[in-house]
Amino acid sequence: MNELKKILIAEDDKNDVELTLTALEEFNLANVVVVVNDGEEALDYLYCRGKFADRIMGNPAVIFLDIKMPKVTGLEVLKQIKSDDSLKMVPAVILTSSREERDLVEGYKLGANAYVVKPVDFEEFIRAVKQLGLFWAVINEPPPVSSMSI
Amino acid sequence: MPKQQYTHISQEEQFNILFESNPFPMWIYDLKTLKFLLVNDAAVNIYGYSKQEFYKLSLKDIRPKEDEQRLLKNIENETSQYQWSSGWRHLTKSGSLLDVEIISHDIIYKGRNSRFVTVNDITEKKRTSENFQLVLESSPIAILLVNKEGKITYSNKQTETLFQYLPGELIGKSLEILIPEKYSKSHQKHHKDFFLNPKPRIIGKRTDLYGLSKNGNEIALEIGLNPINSEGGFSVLVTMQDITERIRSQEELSKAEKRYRTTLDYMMEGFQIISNDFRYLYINNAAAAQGRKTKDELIGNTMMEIYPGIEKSEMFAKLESCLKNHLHLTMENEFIYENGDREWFLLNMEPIPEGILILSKDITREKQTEDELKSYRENLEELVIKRTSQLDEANKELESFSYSVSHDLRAPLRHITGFVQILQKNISSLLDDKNQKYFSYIIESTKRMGMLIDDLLSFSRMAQSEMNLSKLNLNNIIKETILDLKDEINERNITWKISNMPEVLGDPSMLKQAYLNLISNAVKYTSHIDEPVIEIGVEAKQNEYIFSIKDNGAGFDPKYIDKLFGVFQRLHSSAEFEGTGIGLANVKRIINRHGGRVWANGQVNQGATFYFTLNMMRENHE
Repeated sequence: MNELKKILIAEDDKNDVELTLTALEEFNLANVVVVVNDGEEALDYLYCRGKFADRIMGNPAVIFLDIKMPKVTGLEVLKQIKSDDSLKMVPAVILTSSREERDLVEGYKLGANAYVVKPVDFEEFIRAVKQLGLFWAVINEPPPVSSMSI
Repeated sequence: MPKQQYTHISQEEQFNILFESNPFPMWIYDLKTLKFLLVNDAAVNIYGYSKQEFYKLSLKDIRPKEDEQRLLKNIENETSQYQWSSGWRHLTKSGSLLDVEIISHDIIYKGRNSRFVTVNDITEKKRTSENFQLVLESSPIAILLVNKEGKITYSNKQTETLFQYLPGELIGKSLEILIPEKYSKSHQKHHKDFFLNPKPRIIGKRTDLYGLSKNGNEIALEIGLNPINSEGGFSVLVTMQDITERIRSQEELSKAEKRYRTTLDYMMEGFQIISNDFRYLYINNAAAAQGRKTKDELIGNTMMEIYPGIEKSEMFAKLESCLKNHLHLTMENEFIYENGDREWFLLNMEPIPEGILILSKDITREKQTEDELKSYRENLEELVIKRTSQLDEANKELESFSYSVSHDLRAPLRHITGFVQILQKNISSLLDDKNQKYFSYIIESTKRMGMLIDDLLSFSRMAQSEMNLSKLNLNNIIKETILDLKDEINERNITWKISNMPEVLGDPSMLKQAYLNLISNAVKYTSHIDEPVIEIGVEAKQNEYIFSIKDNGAGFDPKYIDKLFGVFQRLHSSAEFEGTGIGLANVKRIINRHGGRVWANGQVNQGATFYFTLNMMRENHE
């Protein structure tokens, strides 16, 4: 109950991962971040299979999805999440490299809750989680019940 | 056979026989009393009086009253013993008048001075002659009688009218006066010849023959000559007909015919007449040329002789149908020549009494054009499909290219920026001011490169993205745009003058982008001005609106106006005003895609005005 929920980041670019983690590290958030490198791994994590077969059950607080990833793309992962009753309540944030509207439109169509333009620095990150009303869920103690609405 | 016996008779008996049995009326009258002394039976028969009645009458009684004086004078003056006279009229008992000729002799009869008269009743003869005269006079044909010496002895009224002489004026004149001088010599010869071999003939039928009128006009004549024997001897009856009108109308006719024939011969379309047995009767130049034959080769020959096998052609079947059913027919016919050449002809077949009239027009070129058009049309669809797929492919390539630019090109840039910023943070305390400045240069440059890439992408997106046209309230768009620019506008004291905008048809995001670029330019280039004024206006002109964005800022040198709307073209340095040089290029592209135009005017430090046009909305616009 005291344990913070995890933040799942699916990103294949090592530099982006490094920059994101560096940014979050400063605020002691890195420890709750789980990084996967492609869409397949993201789904493995969500469904506790493959190398995540042994993890403690439970959905992450939020999922950051890069769109362009090997094997399974971010949009495909998003589609899967939003079509699964057990997962569709998890907020999903699209990571984009620009405001390329094609990606965004497609993402929102599939049920994305927000987007973040890379690099994910702390301000961007906070903006996104604030937008999702998740600030207290990922940074602090669980908030009062009243502010949990999504 | 017994010989007939003749008896001697006295002279008196002889006279009596001759007198009484004479078919001509005869009498003897007393010169003094003019009383009839002796009358024969013929006189009784013709005059209707019995002998007893006659002997009570005098010569005056058988004359019409009006002739009496003349008679008496004649008798008085009569001196000759013998006289033949004519022109007398005698009155019969019934009152009818007889025209008579008279032969009279002085005799002594029973001791009295008398005159013996023989009468020839010429009433009938005279009437015939008068009738004949009447015929001559009323004839529309000019008639002359010419004697052997060439003198005119008779001319009818028509002759006088035709040659414009007075009645009787021609009598006794030489025929020469009616003949133009140039024919005079030959006429004299003809005249002589005619009398050597006098027989009826008609002259002037073929050769042009002319008469000469009194006033010198030449008259075209057709002349008939007839030799006749008359009292005065051998004569020529000349009949003349004025054929001026006939010649004129013949000339007219032949001129007209020549004109039509020439027209037919030389007209552009082929024209031919084919007989009922398919023989070429007439063929004009064009038709001969179309058939690649000479007229001589064709005329008189049948089509089958000229073009063997033609009787199996569709055209021939049409000709037969045209003849048989008396139908006007039209067809396009491909004619194949002996050498294999093919030409198309438009044929008009018209049945006429002689056979068929065919009008033909060479339509080979039209046919070729038609065929080409047809094949073009057929190919066009294929071509469109091919081109479309090529275009689609090119578009896809472009899209993937811009995606690569946005995603792949930006990623390393992002990383550079990110890591440099981390580096700067981690080690800035170790660096002197100079090296810290280098760090900030690197960061600025990468930011700028990021902007360039973004702008390039938005520019290509403006060209490619589909237009979503809808009715737009430009007032709202401008309001939103200014709101979006609040960071740039900041606390600056800009005076805005914004007109009320009309509704237009356009793509909302594109037009917003256009206004964003133009207004942000105005904001940017008035940043050095103390009292910046930005006017956003509109003017309706004909069927379009002219929109304007005017500022009182830095302006530009009109010398470089051509570069204003070019991609990455800048008229100011980045130090003066930031920018990538894509904004106006984008505006131009957006407005052009809406079917409008863009232009600008300005002067350095005197502000700039940018204009663009959009069409007014019509009822059923797209």
